[in-house]
Amino acid sequence: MLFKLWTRKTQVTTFISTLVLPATLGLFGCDGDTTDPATAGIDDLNPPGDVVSITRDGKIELRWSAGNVEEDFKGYYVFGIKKADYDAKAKGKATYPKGKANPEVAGIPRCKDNSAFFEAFGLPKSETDCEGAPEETAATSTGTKLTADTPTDAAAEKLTGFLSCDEEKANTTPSRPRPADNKPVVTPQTCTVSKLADKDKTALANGTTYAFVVVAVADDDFSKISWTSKVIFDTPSATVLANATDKAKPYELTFPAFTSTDSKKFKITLDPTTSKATLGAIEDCSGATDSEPCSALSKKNGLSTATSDIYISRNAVGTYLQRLYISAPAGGSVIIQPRGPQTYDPFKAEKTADGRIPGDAAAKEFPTTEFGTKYVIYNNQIFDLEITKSNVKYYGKVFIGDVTYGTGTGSAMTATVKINVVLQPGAGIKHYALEPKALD
Amino acid sequence: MKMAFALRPYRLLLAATLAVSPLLVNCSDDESDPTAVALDELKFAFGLRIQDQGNGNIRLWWSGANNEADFSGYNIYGVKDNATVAAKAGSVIQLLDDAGEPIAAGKDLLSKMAYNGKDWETPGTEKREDDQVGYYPFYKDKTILPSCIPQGDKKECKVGTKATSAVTLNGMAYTDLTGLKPGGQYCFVVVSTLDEATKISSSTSEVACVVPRSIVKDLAVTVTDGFKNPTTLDLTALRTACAKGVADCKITPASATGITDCKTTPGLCIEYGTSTLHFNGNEKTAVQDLGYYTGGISPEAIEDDNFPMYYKLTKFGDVQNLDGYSIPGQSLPLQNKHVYAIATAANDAKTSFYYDLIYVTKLTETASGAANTLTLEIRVANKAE
Repeated sequence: MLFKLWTRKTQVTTFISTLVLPATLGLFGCDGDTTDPATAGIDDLNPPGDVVSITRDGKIELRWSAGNVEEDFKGYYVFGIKKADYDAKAKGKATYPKGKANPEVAGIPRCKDNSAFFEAFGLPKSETDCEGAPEETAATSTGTKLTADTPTDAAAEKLTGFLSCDEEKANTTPSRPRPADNKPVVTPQTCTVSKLADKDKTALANGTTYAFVVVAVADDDFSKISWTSKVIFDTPSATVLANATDKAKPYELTFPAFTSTDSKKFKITLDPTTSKATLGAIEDCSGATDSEPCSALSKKNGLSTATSDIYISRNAVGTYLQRLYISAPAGGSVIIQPRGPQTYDPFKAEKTADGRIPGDAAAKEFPTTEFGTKYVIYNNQIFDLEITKSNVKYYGKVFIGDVTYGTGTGSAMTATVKINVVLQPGAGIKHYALEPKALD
Repeated sequence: MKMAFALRPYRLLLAATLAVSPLLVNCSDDESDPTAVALDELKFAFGLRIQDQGNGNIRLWWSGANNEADFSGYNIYGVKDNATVAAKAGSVIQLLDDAGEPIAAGKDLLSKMAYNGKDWETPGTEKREDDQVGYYPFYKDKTILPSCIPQGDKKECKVGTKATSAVTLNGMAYTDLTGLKPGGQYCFVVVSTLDEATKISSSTSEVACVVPRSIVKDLAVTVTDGFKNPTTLDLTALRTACAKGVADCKITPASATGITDCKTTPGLCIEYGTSTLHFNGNEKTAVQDLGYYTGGISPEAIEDDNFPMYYKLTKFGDVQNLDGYSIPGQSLPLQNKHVYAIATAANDAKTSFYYDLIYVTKLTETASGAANTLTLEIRVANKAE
């Protein structure tokens, strides 16, 4: 099994150095050699289906469904280039199948009429005639995205011989019937991309959009590739408030045990134009009462009102001394939108550690245009953020992970909140993973 | 690469050897005429899941990688209230072993999911007229099972369509099924087919089961001002009523003015205090806010808006925040266009719960001192989890 990330600059060199065996014939075309792979027909080598991405900090996680039972199946290649290069060199350049070639919607074969598209991703020019390419109708297969509530059995079926792009995963016993050689994969795949494959191994940059396609690879000399997946775009975005040593883990805000007059608050100042968040030290929240608890809405708490600040607070007075709040001031520029427990990753059948899920996006609508909101914090919640700055709207979210308490009761308990803050890398971007339809 | 199981001579010999087996004596899957084919000839469907759209309407979703030239769609097997099948939930039914030999237990299990094609309660008994197919029911001359091929954008698999030409699917597909009765447990598998459904895949999809929810729409609720003057919803009584049928699935909000505490008051409290409407559970009921959804609990919200799953309670009544639920007697702000999960204990030990979903369709809050009105939609859970 082999995964390989291709990029614009050096992929040909890498390809040549990696694949050294002679050519074999593809299903159409005779150019199947290690430097010039032939495209196999769809019924000869199944292309990756339903590619989706998960935006991560400095990384993009790609997932796709696979149906590769071919005896000569070897694995997958992931090709990636900057979207700017894609727009300049690949977009609109594929013309086969005639009249309906749109690799942003459905896969295409590598052949003469589509050569420019593949050249943009670094493959050599193809002279293979596209006419006669098999299973033309299959190119219309669009599938649909894997969404947050898409259960898969990947967790139970780790893949034999599977390598991710970033790391090799352990093999486990497959639970599906397979041919005796135990090679095929008929389950979802995943690949996390953190760097390009150029000579410098350039890291993916937050705020830069990339284009990816995935193909299946076959033959001992890796000389056959499948039709492509559809192109998927995504833009890595920073987790701006995260665990200092491991960004995949949330930050932990700890409220100490306290006496009845010591309501506390943390202020988080958001700067959406630079995608930064600044966490302040824990502060007293004076004057809080049961009916007017410690939050950004309380005039008694001495909070600033004209900033893009949000507050995480804990009230010391009232019926529920464990109660925690997230709030934004009425005179500020942040609207908080509760999204509920959108913290479950069905692909892995577990709660996420950072609130990043497939199909991740800010709410389509926000319920109010009024600033100044306060919500109770519970375990495993997402709060969307709409931040207005200079009349421009920016989006982000606060992920609340586990909330845990120390021993004791009421105010005698410490309270620890796991929290991540994610800000979109540019104005007006609601969808973390840039869908093709958003490009038009 | 495509080596049809039927054409392997050694299998014919093996079939003859095994002819005394009770399994093969009167079944149509004798070795000269196998119908389940190996993985390298036909890939199976996988990732089957069910969206419960309420009142007996469900949507099945699955993934396929079926670019086989003679691929001819999917057959859907289903059964109601069968404990043997339900016990397989999450697992596949294998019809061939690694050596390509039929698995009797798999066929037997699949035969339990052969309904009669008209309703989901009655097992089917029909066999194909030419008696070729061992893993009936099937479609070809008769539509005994819902069968479908991907249509249009290849997402919708329209039930009742028959394959007349090669079709493909490389991704996800769905199909809608109606006519289920809320409260019964239905289990399904999807099987890919080949050659006008004369061949089926060596394995089914995972068994997926559902106990359909009932729906109460447009429930008008009026709430009087004051924390001790709630309106209550008896969700347990509603559940009992819904078990009788859709027409009986009704609830009447009750006024409970002058109570001491919602914590000790039967039913789910809806109350108005501190200028805000609230849900307030009692010692057997907890509430979780699932967030804001403009379109309610719709298929579009489920697919496009990442409609959240509710987390199940692992321990009732612990400190605030456990599993995202309120604790007994703790009010939770009630907001327009939000969906809430209401966990109601199914037993005194509070070890299992019914998880009802309530959508606030419309909310009109008035100034303190006046009554508030709201309209709710309730998706009634008919199974404790």
